[in-house]
Amino acid sequence: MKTITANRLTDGRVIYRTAEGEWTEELARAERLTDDAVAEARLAQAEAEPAIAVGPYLIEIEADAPGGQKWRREGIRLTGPTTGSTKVTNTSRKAA
Amino acid sequence: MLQLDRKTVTRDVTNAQLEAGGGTIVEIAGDTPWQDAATQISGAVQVDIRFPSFKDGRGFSLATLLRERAGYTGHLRAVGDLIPDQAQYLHRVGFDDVAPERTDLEEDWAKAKARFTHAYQPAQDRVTPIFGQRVSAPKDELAALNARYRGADAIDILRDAIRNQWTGRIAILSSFGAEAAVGLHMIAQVAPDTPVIFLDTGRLFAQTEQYQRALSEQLGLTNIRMVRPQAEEATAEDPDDKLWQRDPDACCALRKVRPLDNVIGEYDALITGRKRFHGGERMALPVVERLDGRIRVNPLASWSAQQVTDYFQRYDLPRHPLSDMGYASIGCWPCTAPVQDDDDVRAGRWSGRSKTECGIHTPSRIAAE
Repeated sequence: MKTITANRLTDGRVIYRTAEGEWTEELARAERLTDDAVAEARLAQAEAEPAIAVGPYLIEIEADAPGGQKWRREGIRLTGPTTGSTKVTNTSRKAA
Repeated sequence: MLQLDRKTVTRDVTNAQLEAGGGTIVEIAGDTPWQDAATQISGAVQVDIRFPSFKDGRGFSLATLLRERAGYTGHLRAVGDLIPDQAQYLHRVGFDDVAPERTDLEEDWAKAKARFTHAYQPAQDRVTPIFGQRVSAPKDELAALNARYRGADAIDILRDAIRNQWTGRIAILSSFGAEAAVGLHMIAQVAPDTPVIFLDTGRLFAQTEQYQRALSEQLGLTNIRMVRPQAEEATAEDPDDKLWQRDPDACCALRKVRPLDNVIGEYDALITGRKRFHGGERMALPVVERLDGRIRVNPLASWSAQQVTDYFQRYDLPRHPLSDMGYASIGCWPCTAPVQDDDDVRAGRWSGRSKTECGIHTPSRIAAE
């Protein structure tokens, strides 16, 4: 499963794209994309909004947490900074 | 103790809590995970974050996280081994004040705090970032000025612009053409030492030059600034004196736009005598506008041709020698012709061409096209 993430132009915050085409800071509200063709189409829409979101791209997610090979990177983007306090978002990964 | 002047909205809450008898001061170490810190500080009216060493920046992150994620709105103080260079950062992450271990550096702290006045990004100090100011402020400011000047007499607009708004940073741009005496006469009453920028293009009518000298003397204008094209550029770009014929835009750029650009850096605002009845793009002319980042004040924007005529009569102002010969708007001799009675006043400028403006009143990216 995938979703679209980017950084907000005005303050650099990590944001995710919802099914309604809005942008949110909460991963839980992000759109779940299962079909790759649909995902690419949604990404093209996101790229057409450079005044809101900078550098949108697709990430892997598992349940409500970043997954795939870049789970840690996306985990830090979601909950960082890492100064002794980053909550591990994907507990199954922590065990592994 | 150094106050960081954070724009805080928390005083009422703090006072209320203090009066209720509650309100404690909690000190936490800078390396505390923010979730733990959030629990520890519950009910506190002041939180001191301790920095064990100035090299340990975790307290900065903690401050931001407490403000942003834990929603802490009370007083936040930085304590411990901090150095003056960190003043700005402490401010940006949301501290209200600093109590450094070394207390003999107050002057350095104050200096460091004042070093930067603007911010590129939004942060916990709630300073409006530069892009935010660019987006909102200029428009609001212009709208407010235009609203204030609506219906005001031209001379009152000039007086306010010169004495209050852009004191010492304002000049009037004058062609010493057919209508110029109106604005210049007002300037002479308000502040005769206001710089009058006069573009001597090298192609002016002899009558204009003569009129400029006579009118300046009669009105007592003491600060005429003759602005001429660079001699080397003129020789290189217009060796045969026929540039006006081949490419009038290039000729205006050489003789008017660039020479003006070279001198207006000293001014925040320029006064012009443009009026809506001139037609073309000028029909929508506001009293105050922004052009390439600089203010243009057009106090006569709403004036009619009749008002101009009346003003000349009332103050017995001398007319440009050519205006009696049918020239309603006067620029350089190769590109200025007399107009018929029913034409627009500027119909004689670059007549027979689509060009209507020389470029000194249009944004640079358009003029360059």
